[in-house]
Amino acid sequence: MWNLNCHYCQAHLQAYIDGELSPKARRRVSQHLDRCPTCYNAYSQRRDFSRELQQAIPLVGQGGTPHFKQMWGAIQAELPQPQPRLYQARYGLVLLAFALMLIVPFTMGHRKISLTPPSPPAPELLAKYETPDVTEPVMIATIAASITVESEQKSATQLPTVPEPRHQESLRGMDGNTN
Amino acid sequence: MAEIEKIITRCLNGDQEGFEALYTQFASGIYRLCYSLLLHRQDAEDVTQETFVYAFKNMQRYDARRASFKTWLYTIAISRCRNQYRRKHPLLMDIAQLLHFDVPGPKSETPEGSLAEQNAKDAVETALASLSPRLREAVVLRYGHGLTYREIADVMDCPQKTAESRVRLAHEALRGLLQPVGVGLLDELLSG
Repeated sequence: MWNLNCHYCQAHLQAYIDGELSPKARRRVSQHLDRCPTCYNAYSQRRDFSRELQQAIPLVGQGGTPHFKQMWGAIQAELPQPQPRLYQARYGLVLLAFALMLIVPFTMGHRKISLTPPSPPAPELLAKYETPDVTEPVMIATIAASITVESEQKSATQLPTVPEPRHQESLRGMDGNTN
Repeated sequence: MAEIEKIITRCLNGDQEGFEALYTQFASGIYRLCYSLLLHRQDAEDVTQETFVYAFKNMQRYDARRASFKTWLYTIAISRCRNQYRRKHPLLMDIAQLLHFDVPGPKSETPEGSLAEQNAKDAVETALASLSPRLREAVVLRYGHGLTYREIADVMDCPQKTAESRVRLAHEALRGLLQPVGVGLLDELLSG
């Protein structure tokens, strides 16, 4: 007699055959199959047909000889190709530039190129080119006065009409000369 | 790390031999899947090729935590097959056509025997063709490729219960289609 358990069993029969039921559900279906000949008969037929399908369906498509090599060729053509190694060319350019830096001075004037750093100047030369101490005010005034006199002489001979600049007057005052 | 993960890592580093290794490993299965769904050799080859091109170009999208590489490939293949269904005429055939198949004779090495085997294969193909695409996908993935309901659900992008009910419905439909043909049909096919 068809009952709720039969309904439950039929609904889960395929999953039971495929081994996809939870242990609890599996136990329930199994217990029902032991008691119900109708459901067991359905189970038996379905199980046999499932086995047949498991063997029959994988054979579909196996008879022909697909062009796997040709397909692979087409796939390869569409694959992203690995980038060429540009760094080798880059290193080549750097080497070329370095070689030019060495060769060009030889070709222009045949001058020797010294790769050693220049030697430091002798102590006497250092003393000669040492800058004088001009921080004292008296020295500054003397130098300023001499510059003023020279500039006045030049301006008197070359540009008599141009007025004297103010700072020269102040310098004159410092010197005590009232020309 | 699994072998397949190592190969995928090689592919991501641009190793062409890695791609070839993956193709060698999966091409046959993908072709069989495509053929079982499309039931047309040239279409199956085209879709197989498209599947691998897409997969290899988008390898960085594959996430091993979500699904196995096989499931990922199958998902791509199913998607491409669905595109193909839309482009082509529907595969549904007249069920009455099935009833005109010759019942195969006993297995033998004779040309008649191989012809009977071919007829049996054709009967299964025709029965598959008469299913709706979704039922065909479910039954092919389950019985043709041994995927679990969980994997079928992932590949078909549906709940697991839906995958389960599709397998059940497809199973019932195939029983209804193949059993009237003759008792010896599948026996012949399986013994071949």
